[in-house]
Amino acid sequence: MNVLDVAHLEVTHPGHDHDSSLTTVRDVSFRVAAGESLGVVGESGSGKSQTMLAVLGMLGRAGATVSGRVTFDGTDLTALTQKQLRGIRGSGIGLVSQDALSALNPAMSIGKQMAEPLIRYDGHNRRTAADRCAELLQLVGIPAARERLRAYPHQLSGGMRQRVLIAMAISREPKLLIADEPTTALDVSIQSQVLRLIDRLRRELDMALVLITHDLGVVAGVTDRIAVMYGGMIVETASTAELFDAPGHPYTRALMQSVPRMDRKPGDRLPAIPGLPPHPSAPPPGCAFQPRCTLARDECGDSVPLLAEPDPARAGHLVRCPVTAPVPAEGART
Amino acid sequence: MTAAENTAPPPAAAVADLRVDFPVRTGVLRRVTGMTHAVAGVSFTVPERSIVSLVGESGSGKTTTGRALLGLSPVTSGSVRLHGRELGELRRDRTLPRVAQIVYQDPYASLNPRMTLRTMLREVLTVHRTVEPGAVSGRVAELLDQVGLRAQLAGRYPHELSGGQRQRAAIARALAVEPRFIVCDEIVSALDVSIQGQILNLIQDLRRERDVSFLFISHDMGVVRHISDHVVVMYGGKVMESAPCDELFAAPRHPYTRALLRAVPVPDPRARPDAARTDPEGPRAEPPDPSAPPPGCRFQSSCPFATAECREGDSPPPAAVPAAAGHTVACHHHDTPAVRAALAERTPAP
Repeated sequence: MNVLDVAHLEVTHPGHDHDSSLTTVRDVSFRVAAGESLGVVGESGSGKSQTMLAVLGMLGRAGATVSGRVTFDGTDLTALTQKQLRGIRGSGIGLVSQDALSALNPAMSIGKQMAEPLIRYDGHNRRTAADRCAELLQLVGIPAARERLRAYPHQLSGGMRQRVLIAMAISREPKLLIADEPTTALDVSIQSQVLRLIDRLRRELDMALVLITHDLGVVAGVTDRIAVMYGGMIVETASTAELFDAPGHPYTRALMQSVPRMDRKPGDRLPAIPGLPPHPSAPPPGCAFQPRCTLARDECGDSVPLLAEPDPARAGHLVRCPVTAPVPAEGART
Repeated sequence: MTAAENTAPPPAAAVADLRVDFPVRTGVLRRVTGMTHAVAGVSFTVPERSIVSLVGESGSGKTTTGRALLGLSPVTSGSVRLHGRELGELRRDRTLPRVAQIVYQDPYASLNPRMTLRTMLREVLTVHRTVEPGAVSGRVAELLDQVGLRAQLAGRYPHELSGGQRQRAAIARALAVEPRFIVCDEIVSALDVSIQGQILNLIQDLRRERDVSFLFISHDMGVVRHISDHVVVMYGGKVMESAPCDELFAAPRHPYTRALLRAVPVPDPRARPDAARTDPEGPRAEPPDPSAPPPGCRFQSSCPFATAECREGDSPPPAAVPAAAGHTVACHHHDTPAVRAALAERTPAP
């Protein structure tokens, strides 16, 4: 069963002038099954965070136009009011963001801000909420949990703050956890601990996970499936093993080759991707990657390629490229 | 690395027992109540035309060390020599900017928002009189070309450039005075991976074509592996290990280096089960408080091999690793059989 089903999601922001607009998410469709973990990989401006903000219904205030369908656990989120959405966030979908220091209230103790939603929505009183918070802090590996409840965010290290944020995100046992660059601001040794923590919690609590990151190394370790985004679109999606074994889209391939890796003997030069990613106000015609692509042909600039399954033997591996993955005759899947 | 080669030309940078202390101020009167030892006795050498990386986590003292090389951190004691000349002497006769330059992580903060690239480069060239007044325009074009910026961009302001282009502009400004040594402080950390590669290639070209030496400060072990000739690993203000790049990644000897390398996520799904089995997930002890470091080794509280010896006296001095030229390690146990066996158990593939 799918916990999250996103179909033809499109996000457009009004531009500075009347006639200009920025389309940051273009026809994005994906599904996350119960208990599954999906990695969404992309660079800045690829639309990965915008997609998740749209899913959570958090783009309304920014004046953005969101179209498409977002079904969470059988409910169409796009039809809900802000008040109803607030109920879903937290109880149904937990969110962990990158910057724990700005996500936490600096003037409130950890225990108090953790307890707030539990008291408001789950019928806890102060005492039972405090018990539950201590239990949660223990679950995310914070020692001396009881005493830590009285601490303020600035008294904790970056890794500890991120653990607190994770504890808050799972406090109401959501079916889906969305983690947006949860480890980017952390030192490597702390990063691997936090990733392993998220992975363990997902298994123990049987949550689905959407992990948004720019780091291929991060998704390799903890996801079942990966969607690669570029220029506001999903350009490739496959199981994690399949994607790393046989990347189909020229962008995915170039990305993998251009990342300097510790486990690889250094070559003289990195095969860097020339040029710049497209700006959402002026997307290139046709395929978004076409101006930087070494395999581009004339027709790549004509129309946006379909997300197709090039090889029926590799079901579920979809690639948006007519050159490396020509559309099979019987019809394309999106 | 500290062995002096007397006949060879002096290294681009030679740092000996560098210490940087910052005063700790408390209370309303901001009285100095103690000292933070950000850099606590660091020595290394950057040979000419080489790229030496300084790695470590936040609080390790790597940035403070890099800044001290240019006189931007207050040097408490120790010596810094750049191309054979003492830092104090270079500052007194004002030749320091022409010997060494620094490029920062965030070019948006280090470039003047009210100057176009052309104005900015012209100013540097005029102030330092690196070229004749008539040749300034030509030199600006040359500099932009060197860092791979199109000539049309010369009239742009920093906010009109992309992150990668801004970093190229910052590098062009550093190159304008034709320095022979550049400190790069996390210069690719804020860039997207597809742009990161372009900047790393540029650094390598500059080393090869313009004989510039680099001290490359980074926390990204993949980048360090790719670009360096030699790597210096810092923790808690001290050098833990220093080795030629290939050697360090193939055979790390310090327990901290090993922990650091194993923590790096590798973009290979098959690496998953192994790492999950062998590494604990729980929070590791935090680095020691730099204003009151414990006696002995700085890494002791997180080290699985620490013994009573590691918790007393001075921190272990760097010792040469036998049969490995240029490889030193500051650990009492780096050569004991138990530690060697543990280190050999799963080192990253070379």
